[in-house]
Amino acid sequence: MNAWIERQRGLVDTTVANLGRRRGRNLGLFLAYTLLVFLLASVVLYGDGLRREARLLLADAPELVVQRLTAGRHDLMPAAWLEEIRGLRGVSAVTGRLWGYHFDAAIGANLTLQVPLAEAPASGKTRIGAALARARGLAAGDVLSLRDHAGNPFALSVEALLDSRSELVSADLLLLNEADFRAFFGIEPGRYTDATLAVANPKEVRKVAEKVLARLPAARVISREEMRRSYEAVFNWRQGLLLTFLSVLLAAFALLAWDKASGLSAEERREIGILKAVGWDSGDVLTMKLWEGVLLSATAFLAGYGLAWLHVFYWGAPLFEPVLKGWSVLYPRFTVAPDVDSAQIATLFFLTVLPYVAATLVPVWRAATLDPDEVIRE
Amino acid sequence: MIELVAVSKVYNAGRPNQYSAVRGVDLAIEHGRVTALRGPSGSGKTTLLSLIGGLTRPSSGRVRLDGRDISALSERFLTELRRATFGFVFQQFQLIRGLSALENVMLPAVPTGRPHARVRARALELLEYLGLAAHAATRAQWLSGGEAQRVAIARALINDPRVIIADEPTSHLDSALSRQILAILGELRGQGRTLILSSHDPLVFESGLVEHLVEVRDGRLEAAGP
Repeated sequence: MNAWIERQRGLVDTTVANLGRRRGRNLGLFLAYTLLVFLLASVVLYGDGLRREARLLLADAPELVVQRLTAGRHDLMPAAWLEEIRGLRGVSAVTGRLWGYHFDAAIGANLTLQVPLAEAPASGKTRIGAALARARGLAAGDVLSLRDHAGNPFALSVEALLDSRSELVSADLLLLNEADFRAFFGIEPGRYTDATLAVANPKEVRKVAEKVLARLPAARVISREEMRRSYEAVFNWRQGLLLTFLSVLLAAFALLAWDKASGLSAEERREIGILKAVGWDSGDVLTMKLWEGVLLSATAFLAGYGLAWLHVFYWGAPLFEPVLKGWSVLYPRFTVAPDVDSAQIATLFFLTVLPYVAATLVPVWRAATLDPDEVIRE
Repeated sequence: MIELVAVSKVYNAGRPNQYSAVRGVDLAIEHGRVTALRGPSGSGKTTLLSLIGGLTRPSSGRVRLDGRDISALSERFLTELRRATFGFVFQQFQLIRGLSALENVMLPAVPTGRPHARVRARALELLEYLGLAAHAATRAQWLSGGEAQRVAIARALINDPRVIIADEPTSHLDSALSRQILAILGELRGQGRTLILSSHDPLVFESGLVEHLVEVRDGRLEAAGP
């Protein structure tokens, strides 16, 4: 056992000396490798992080949302619809919601105005999202002045800012009470933007949706599962788009690695011959080259993955933010929660490290199995 | 005793560039003596040394070491035998560029699994013995011809082999350096090691070092000396 350890130590020492004597080449390879892992890991970590956040958010979303359609467009819903739905078997609760959009010319952005289902602000008061507060330069106690549906000034006193941890969904949000909301948009009492449904038995969600549609043919019913799938599809599409671009980089790196790693120079072949002549067998040469490949690619992998982790979880992924998060004037300033997924690390590792090590070993194996005499004579 | 029985070596067999480097050689080399192969360039001296030292296998015939047929051994056993029995000094030094003199000397000991500290101490001892202590950290490419040849000798000795095989040990050296190298080889002979050389340098044969002379031409032995 000691001899085995000493042998490995000797091989690693020689490998390190080898890496050092081709410093320029190996440093170039290490940097290219690290950059590739960094980009790939950033996209994967950020995409997965966003999906995870979206799943967490949707966990609290209503099981079903019912909207009214008129001529195929979303329209306000009469209060009578809420009663119709409430009468359906399997529905445990129905709540009418009030929300809408308002273009704020002062900052050139769309705001989302909403009446919270609980703890609504007092009359003339509002609670606003962090991005809106930043854009408008507002703090608690300041007055936010908007123009209502008729173009008249509409002032709201900022009661508080919304928790920045929920910035993904609350960046452009403005919460106000029902009376202020109706006055601002000119919506008469008894009409709602849409309705949320709670279903007593989760297995009956689809059945309840069918019943709603049967009772109210002009309705559109959206389930939580459909929303989750939509989010997933959007993130997958965006992540796929980025990965497609990155695949070009991956291909370029593969070519570089193949050229650098597999193309044994005459000098390298001669060195293999010398090693064999002085008493190394093919296994020793292969083990040394394996150490060389593993040391280079594993350190580059760790460096690339570590940088990607910092990039995504601490610096907010500035490189991919616009593509993966979406385009907006009021950008949510948010970082996804740090997470380590062993399956994801293993996938990235096998995609980047194994091909490189294999590309290194094949030509070495071919040279190492020749007679040393033959290699030196070349 | 090292014996070659009807040994032939053909390179690139079956290809248009096929050639026979060694043809039907019978040779016996006793331990503890200095044997020299003499002949012009391309006569097959280097190939014979490769066959004797197990660097290559004969196309036909047998190579025996102390009665044991080594030409039929698997690569692993042949390498182990080569590592333990033979030390090689190659014609063009064959040091690895970029590695220091010390690292080059230690290379043959790496697969043995001997403790690193002991191998390093032995390598430094050999470099000192050969007057190279000050050059231990010098990269191989920065050594002079004489220094490189002495590093190659130190490397050949690191595993303490019984047999030293030296291919044209003086071919790239001036007369003074050649005499120095021959003196070192004489000392190795004095330690009871077997030396097998190839050369066409008159200095080698005038030095009185050679005890058994073998003339080689066109891959065949012409005559064997005492």
